[in-house]
Amino acid sequence: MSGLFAALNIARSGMDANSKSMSVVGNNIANLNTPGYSRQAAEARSLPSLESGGLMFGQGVSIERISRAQDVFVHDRLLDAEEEMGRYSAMSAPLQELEQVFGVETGDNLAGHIEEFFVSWDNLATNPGGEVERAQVIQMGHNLVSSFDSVFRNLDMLDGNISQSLSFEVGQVNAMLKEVAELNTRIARSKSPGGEAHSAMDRRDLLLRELSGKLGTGTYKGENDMVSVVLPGGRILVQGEGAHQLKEKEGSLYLVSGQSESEIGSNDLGGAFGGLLEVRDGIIHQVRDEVLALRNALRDEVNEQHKNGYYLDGEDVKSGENFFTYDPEKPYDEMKVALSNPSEVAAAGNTEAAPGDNENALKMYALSGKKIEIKIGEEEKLEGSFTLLDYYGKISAHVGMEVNQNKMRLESSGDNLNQLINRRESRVGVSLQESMLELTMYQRGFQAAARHMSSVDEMLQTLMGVGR
Amino acid sequence: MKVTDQMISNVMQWEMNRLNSRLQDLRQEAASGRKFNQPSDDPSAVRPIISYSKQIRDSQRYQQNMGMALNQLQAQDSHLDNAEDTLLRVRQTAIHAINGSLNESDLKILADQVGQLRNELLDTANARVNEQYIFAGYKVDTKPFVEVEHGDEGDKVIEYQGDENARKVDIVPGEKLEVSVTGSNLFPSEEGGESPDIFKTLSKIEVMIREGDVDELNKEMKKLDDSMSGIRILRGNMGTAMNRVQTSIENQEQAENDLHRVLSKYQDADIVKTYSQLIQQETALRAAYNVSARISEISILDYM
Repeated sequence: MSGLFAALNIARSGMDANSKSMSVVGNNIANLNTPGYSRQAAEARSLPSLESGGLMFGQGVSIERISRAQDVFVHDRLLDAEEEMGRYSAMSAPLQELEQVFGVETGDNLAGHIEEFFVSWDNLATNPGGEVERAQVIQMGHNLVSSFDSVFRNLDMLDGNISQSLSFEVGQVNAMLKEVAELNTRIARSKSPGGEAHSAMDRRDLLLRELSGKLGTGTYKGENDMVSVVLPGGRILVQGEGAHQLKEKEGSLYLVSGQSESEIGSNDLGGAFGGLLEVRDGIIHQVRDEVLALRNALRDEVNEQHKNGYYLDGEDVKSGENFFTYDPEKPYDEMKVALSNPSEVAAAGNTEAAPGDNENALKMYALSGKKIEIKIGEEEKLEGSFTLLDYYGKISAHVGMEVNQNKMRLESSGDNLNQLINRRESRVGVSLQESMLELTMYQRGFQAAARHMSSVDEMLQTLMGVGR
Repeated sequence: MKVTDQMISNVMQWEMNRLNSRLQDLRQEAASGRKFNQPSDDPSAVRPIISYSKQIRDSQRYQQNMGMALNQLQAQDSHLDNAEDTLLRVRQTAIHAINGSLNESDLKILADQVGQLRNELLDTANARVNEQYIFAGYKVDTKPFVEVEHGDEGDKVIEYQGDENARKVDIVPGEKLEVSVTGSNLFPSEEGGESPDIFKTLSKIEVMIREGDVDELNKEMKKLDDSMSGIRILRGNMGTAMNRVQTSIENQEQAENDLHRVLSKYQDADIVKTYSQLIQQETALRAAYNVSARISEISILDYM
């Protein structure tokens, strides 16, 4: 069926295809800055030719489908990069706070108070009978105890903050998991030809990236373009149209599926959750053990030395008692200063406890430079021999190294993620130049098709004039 | 590779963030003059910094303690000087009594003088600094030399009530130096006795002058000379100790200087390097701003 009417139809199909393409390009331009948007394209195809008088005539053009640019390889790499970035950026804040607790500057930190305590003994040595110097030793003991308490309080607070932010994030993650399942449903239903749910896929890709950043989840494609979301340990969070939920209880995470709940260990988690748990259950836990080891070593050494000294109780000479008390059944509990009366400070090293005798005070001061065997944890694993301040330095260096390492990893994973985001942009993003040129192209295409139509119209009129 | 607008703004943002945060670090370094501000700046420097800072403060404490010890030694020395001076005057008085042909009342005056000098020596022996007896060993609140009744006849004798412990100070870590003289060292008693010989001697001299017993007086003079040379030896020892402390203070000052220098290597910024890096980074940031301004100048929209 060739002829002028057919030509009219061809012109119409051209105008139609160009205007459809126009609106696809227009949509691309509108979404120029939409996060996660993938460029779409109208796929034009020439209509099959028809035979007429032994010749094959084309029938014009039609828009077959609107396609969405995709790059599966970059997307998978992005998930990995988001996981790393999520992990290191979640760790960064609590680690930096931890670092504040273990400063190196002299002054109002644990190291400063340990030193001040021993210096007060040295001051006592210069005037062993002095009431003020004795009271000062007790005061510095109290300061030291409260300095340890404040370190533990800070660690507990960090611990609590991490648990709190886990419980906050769980809500967000659950909402995201649900949305992925819903998007799965929409995508599967729209599988009919021409009805692709492009925006749903864009949205789902973005969610999968965020989920990977939070949980380190992996994904794999199921049937009907649905995706499953799994934890690094292999447990399934989303499958097809169903999503499981997470739950936070007393700082631990549980996977809720139906009636049953199962705990998720830190090995099963990546991303921000994995990072936070690593800080809380790994680093902070160990640091707390180290500080305890330091405190117990100090307490035992001081008590031991104090018992070797003597003091005057009125006229009677007495041996020193424990300087710090604790419950031997529960050595990890609070420590307190046992002395309340300045006269009980055992500065003397001889049994007469003469008021000028400073021998024990000098020995007490010497403890600050003595190498002590430090034992860590309930099983009392030997850490080695350190002076008290040196061991503090070891803790501080340990924390500093974690922070330092985190900074470097954060920077390199940020670099990596940024490169991948750019790669994705380059493959599936919207380029303004390209779109503007396309816009011109389709505009011209439309104009040409319209011109074609009016030419055919003129020809038809000419034809009609012939019959008059 | 296709370049989209989002990519361009991504790259610019990332670069500017990086430049700004590096600049921030450098500014802090330049303003504080320190490259080490928190443990993560250089974890391997944490332990040296703690250890060297402690050594510096230790050294300052040693210097302070030794300064006090020096004061103590000087105070003691001036009291020993007094004691020596007193004994010298006793000696002169006794020689006067031996050589001169003196009548009874002259001898009595001289004897009374010796009695007074004996009391003066007792005061010196019981000298106090800061309310504490300096020649009592550790028993700083006990008067070390007191007069007690002795025997049936009601004789009065001086007894030493302090102890045998000399005060020590650390002059270098682990090395102690005695900085006080105990009363028993200053005025030794005969073996087993508690009553210092010198006071006995002075009492005898007083009695002999009063009685004009020149022969016996000559014998006691020997003991007087022994005591004086004993004090001189003590003062000599103390002078050595003072020198030792003085040298130690100087050594510690030197050590402190060295420690400061080492510590500085770990924590202080190399200002010249920091400034040149600062300028470098500022230039880079300026270039980045410049580029970003140029990017917005070119747009396909201006040509269509």
